[in-house]
Amino acid sequence: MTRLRRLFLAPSWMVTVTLILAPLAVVLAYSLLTRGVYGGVMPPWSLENYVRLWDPLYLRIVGRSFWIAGASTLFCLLLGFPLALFVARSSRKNLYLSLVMLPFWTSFLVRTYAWMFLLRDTGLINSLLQKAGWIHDPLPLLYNDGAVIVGLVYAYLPFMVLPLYATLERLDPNLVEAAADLGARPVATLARVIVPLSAPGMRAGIVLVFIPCLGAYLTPDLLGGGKSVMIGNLIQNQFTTARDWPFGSALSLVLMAMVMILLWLFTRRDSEGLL
Amino acid sequence: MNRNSRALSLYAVLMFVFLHVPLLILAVFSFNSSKFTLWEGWSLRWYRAAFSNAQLAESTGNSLIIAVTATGLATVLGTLCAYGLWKRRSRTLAGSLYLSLVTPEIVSGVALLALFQFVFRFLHVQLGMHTVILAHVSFSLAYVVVVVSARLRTVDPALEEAALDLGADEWGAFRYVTLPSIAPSIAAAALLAFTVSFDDYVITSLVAGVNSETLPMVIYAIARRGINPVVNAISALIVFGLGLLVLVSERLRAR
Amino acid sequence: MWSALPRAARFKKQRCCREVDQPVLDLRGVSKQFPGHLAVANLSLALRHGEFFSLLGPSGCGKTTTLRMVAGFEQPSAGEIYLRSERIDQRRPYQRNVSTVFQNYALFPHLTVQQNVEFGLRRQGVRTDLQKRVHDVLELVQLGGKEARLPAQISGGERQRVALARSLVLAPDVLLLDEPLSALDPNLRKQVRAELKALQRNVGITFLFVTHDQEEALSLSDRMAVLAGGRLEQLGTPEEVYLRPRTRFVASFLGSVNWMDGVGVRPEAVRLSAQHPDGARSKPVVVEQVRFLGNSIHIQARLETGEAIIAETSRLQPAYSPGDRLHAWWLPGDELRFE
Repeated sequence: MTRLRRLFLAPSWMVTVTLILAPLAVVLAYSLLTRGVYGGVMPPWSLENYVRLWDPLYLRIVGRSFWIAGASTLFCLLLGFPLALFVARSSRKNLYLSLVMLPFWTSFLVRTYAWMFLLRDTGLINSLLQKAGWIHDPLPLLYNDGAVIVGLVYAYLPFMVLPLYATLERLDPNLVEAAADLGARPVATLARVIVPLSAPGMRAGIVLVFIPCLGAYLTPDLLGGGKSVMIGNLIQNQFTTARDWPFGSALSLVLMAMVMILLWLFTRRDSEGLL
Repeated sequence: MNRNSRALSLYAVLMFVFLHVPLLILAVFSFNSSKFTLWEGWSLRWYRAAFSNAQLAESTGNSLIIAVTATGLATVLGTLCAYGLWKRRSRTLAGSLYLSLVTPEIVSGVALLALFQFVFRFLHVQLGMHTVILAHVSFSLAYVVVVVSARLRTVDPALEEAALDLGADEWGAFRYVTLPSIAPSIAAAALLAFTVSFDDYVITSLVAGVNSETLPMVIYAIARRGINPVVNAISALIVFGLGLLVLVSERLRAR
Repeated sequence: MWSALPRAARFKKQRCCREVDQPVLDLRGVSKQFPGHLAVANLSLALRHGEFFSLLGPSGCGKTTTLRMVAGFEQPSAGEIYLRSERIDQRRPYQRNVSTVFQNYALFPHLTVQQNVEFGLRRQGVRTDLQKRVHDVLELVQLGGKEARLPAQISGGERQRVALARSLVLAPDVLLLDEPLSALDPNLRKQVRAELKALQRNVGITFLFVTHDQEEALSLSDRMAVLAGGRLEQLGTPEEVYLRPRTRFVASFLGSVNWMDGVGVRPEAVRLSAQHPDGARSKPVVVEQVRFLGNSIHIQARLETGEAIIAETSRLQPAYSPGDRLHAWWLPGDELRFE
């Protein structure tokens, strides 16, 4: 029995080692090297790249990334919770759940482009407002932090709704009835019973939204123009235009470290795993 | 229906509008005869432009080849992996797959690029379709394992024992008892992997070579330059196509 | 009704006289050590051809582990297992001529009843006789006509019979049954129990039956082994084990016992009356509670020393009331004494 199992797992081991672990090892090595003359890498080995991170320019980018990711996550939570509650209480759960999830699975690029179409100076929103006479000059809706947040919320809202729904759906209806029986009005029941009990779902949702938002690249690139540079854009820049692979590697590892810490902080209380 | 649930329902309607209307608008305006955002009339000119564009056709072809190959590999490997993990947990393997899921795409992309360039020093190979396919396999694998593992967790281990007891060997138990049970979720995983692969931009753009442009890369290039209704048309087609695939996948998963 | 079926003869293996003397299943000094837990300790058992043998014990006593070692799903840490004089403990399950009926039946949900039952035969490569053999065994368990149904479409009792049929059609040397009645409705259990006993008699295959229910074990077995903590407490016929238990544990597990001064007496052996006969042991008691159980009456009475005992009488006996002062008496032969 073990022979068959080893045979089955061997190819996956190969893929995991060569295409998941080895690349990260290379990045780790590169982060400790120095930029070569024509790009590429060369010795000396040093922690120089990590030290460079403390430059206020880069710290500002990290700060902006946290601010944008945080705001997006917060909006997802505020907007997603009532929606999850609705789906959990409805009689056609699967239908509504599919309606929530469907946009997510179509195309990330397309969904981001949709907001470009809506928000730009000659986009739909501005055109309609100008046509209606409400504004004269177009509003600068695109190419700023706000547009990036809108794009991220739109992209990752389903990721918040899904775990919230899973937790709320499992909520014992007797608890809500008991609260009412003891004299709590709906708002109080919501605040004191439902919300606290949905904490595991909230933790999962926060993790599932914040982490991709922190490492976002496409959304700030298309919706932020050059104005809302986040860590992801900075990394991409180092590996293409700036040709500073060691610095880019260091940034990548720092991003990974932040992701790992966040994961550990939020999921250590939950035992269930995906795999 | 009391006042609170009516308010909740109203809110839900608004949210569904928020989620779907941007895509619907995009689709509707793909039929706009004008290049600008003001509605002028119905027209299929942008669809005609899309279909007659050679670059789009070639990149779509590339995307399909890559998606089909990567999906095939990832599905087979992922199914075997999920089965192996079901028999006996391997924390390192499961942990590595989990790592691949939580790694931000940009980091996966640059890491793979760094690896490929490092290896190419010795192999005299360039970036191309093969590197894209490898990259797609690497991030699709975890998705397949997650989907198939979820289904395997509902399978009674006693069934394979019964098969062994009745005279099947280990491979027979897998083939005649477990595999038929998980077949729908394998199909669902494959469709999922296909969707993820077809749509990928970030990783693909970093590891693609000169002659291996994919559809997302072309769309990105056009979109970067500004609004182009051709993108609307392509988007509408993609949303429709992938959406259909996902619906089928969900149906299979539920079986 | 079971015994009226003639076809069962096909499942009986003709054995020559010499073979009948050898045990069909022989466990010698079998132990199983799990990390941190010794599940089975030095167990030795020998099953005879055609007998209904039970392993009885509380949860965790090692009976299921023993069954799994015979089936091949666990390897013994020590000892050997012989099937008809061939050593099998190192073989894979599909290399052993034993078959298991699982507690939850483990029917393949994607296969019909027919396909489930023929599964083992197909793995053996049987083609010619297939339909007939499956048909015959389904008739035997009274499931004729249900071949095309899926497991989800039949009742729990029917599923159990499919599991039996699936194993029996392979004519194993020993049929292993892992608490097969526990998943059934309590009302169904007694009836299925009788059917199972008749089936075994009919077919003549050795049954190794695992249960924690002593009534099941007593009513079904030709012989039984009582296990506790991985060890064999006693092996014998149901009468031996119930009437002449060798340890306190066996006595208590097989039925209720009144303990008085280190001596045990079963409630059905205790009688109450104003006077006690000569030669009987007795103690004065005061009746405390009288419980009507339908087919019997339990009388709880208190001894002068303060302990409570239970006497079980048929409801057709004279009635007693709380407060009555009587003698509780029993025959010396009914006493259970242990060191």
